[in-house]
Amino acid sequence: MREIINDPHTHPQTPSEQLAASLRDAPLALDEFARARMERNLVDAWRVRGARAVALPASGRGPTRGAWVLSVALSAAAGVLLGLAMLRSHDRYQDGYHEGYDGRASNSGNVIAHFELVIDDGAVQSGYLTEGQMLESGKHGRIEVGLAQSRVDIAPDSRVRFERLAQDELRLSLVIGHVEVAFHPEHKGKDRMSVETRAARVLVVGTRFEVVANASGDTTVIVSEGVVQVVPRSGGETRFVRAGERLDVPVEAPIDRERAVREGIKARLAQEDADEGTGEARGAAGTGGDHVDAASAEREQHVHEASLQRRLEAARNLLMQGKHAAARERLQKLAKSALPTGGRVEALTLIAESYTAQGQIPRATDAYREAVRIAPHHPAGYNALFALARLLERHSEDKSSAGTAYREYLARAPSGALAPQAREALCRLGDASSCK
Amino acid sequence: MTRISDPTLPKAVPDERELLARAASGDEAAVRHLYRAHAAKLHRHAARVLGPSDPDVEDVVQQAFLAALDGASKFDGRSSVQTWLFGIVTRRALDAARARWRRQRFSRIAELVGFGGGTAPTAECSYLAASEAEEVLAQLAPMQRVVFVLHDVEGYTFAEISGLTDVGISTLHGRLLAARKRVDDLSAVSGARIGIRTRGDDA
Repeated sequence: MREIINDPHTHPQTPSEQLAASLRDAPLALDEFARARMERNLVDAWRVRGARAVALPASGRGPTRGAWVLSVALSAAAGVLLGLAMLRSHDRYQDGYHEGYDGRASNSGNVIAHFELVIDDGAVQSGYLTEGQMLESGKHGRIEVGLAQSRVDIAPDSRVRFERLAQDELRLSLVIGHVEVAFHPEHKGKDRMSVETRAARVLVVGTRFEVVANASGDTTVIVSEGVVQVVPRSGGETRFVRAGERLDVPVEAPIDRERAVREGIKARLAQEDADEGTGEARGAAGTGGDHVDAASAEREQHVHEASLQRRLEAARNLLMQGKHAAARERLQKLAKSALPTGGRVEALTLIAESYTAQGQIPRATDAYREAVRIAPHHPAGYNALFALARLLERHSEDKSSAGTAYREYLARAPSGALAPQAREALCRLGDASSCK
Repeated sequence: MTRISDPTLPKAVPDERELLARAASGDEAAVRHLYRAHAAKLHRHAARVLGPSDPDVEDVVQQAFLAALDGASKFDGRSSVQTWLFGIVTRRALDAARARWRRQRFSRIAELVGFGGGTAPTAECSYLAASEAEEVLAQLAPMQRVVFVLHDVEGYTFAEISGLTDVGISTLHGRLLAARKRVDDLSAVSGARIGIRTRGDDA
């Protein structure tokens, strides 16, 4: 048993003072593992929210009568306000245009964007958008966004961020899902609109079109009126898609390119290693005409890391949507790929967390063990070992296996970030030598 | 996988107010920096109000950070960022704890008059304590617990706690005295000194 730790400066006498002193001296309970997980969730949530995301009501049922009446009244009021606002916006636009023509000011004011989240044909939520705001339609919702010169219909299960809402530029980011856009600018060639996905940027000059992006970012552009310009992010050729045409832009393209670059670099490094054997200094290899210098290797590493993070994030998104099987399938591919160890371990850890969330503890245990096996001397492997121990402690009848895992963690990372928690756990499991 | 160190984070500790502003404007590194600086203490505080094993603890901390980022423009700089965050966490944790306390009122009364099960009559059922000290803390009503932790443990003044909780100073004073008396009474009944022995120590 741990003795009472009193504050030596105050010497607590009464039980309440003893309690306060005990609590004051108690260590922080948030272990590094949980902190990192919470941090990741926070960053993801903050990234997705952008600003006050629209949340869908929890159930898929239709609106109540009261909500319907209220929503009709609100919609009518919002419609009147939107109409007035659009008229004023139009006047301001004209003023701004003329000012710009005179060279005294630019017309970069924001447009008014009104949205309505609709479920079962009844408006259940409405409001005005600001730049940077994310709209999320949810499973049963459909969002209609009315802007001065365009209209955007967001299909169910879609997330769209409104990056730019200026008079002369509208820019949307389609994170996932399906949007249908009707853009009819008053000043063709001057007013721009674009929809960005992970795979492509769709530039518009005046048309009706649809953009669909799946969880991986693979994008399809379908044009029903006019023409749009599609710029693949992979650096591929810019394409014009006309009315009645459709273009698929896979996100894999840049990955293939990255793979080619990576393999080229590996081959070059192997060649350099061979050269070193003949007495050539490795640094001298960087002076050749087609050499891969440190900067390009670093750049390649950065691209590679970004690609890995994107794929992991796609899997995390699926997990957040409750699509465990689909997420695990992707993660299994990552875990079995030739990725760096840290990435594979992260994939296995997410698999384990998914199984744990679904109560499949033996499979979660297997995933953690695999992570430990492939990274026995890597910090990521140490953390997986700690997570395994924690899982066994909480969910397994055999506490000795949890103790073994904690001891193994301490043997591998005696000064690791989770070492104090591992010792506490061993103490909790009855190992007196681990108690302070 | 967990990253113990992140080279993308800024090396020097910037001014906290500036950090908050940067985080609120979407700077991911600033969000991470802010989180790492305060998460552990806020988590401990929420855990003391709700119970260390309560699944809502993480959610309270998470929602508090999101609320802070959303409302960063409201931070006036009169207190430290940590105190401001403590206020947000306190209010959210208190809301959750009060809701639970209200839900369990009937079962507590039933147990007191002899209709309940065999569980401890006064401890909050959902508050799973990890140590003796936390067990005693669980016996306090949520507001008593908050005042006791903020004043006697964290060292905040009544004026600061009043600012954090929107409760008057005289009320806070009364709650603190009641909390201390309850702890002393519990100790007198059990005849034990209060330590930080963990439950597993007896195993």
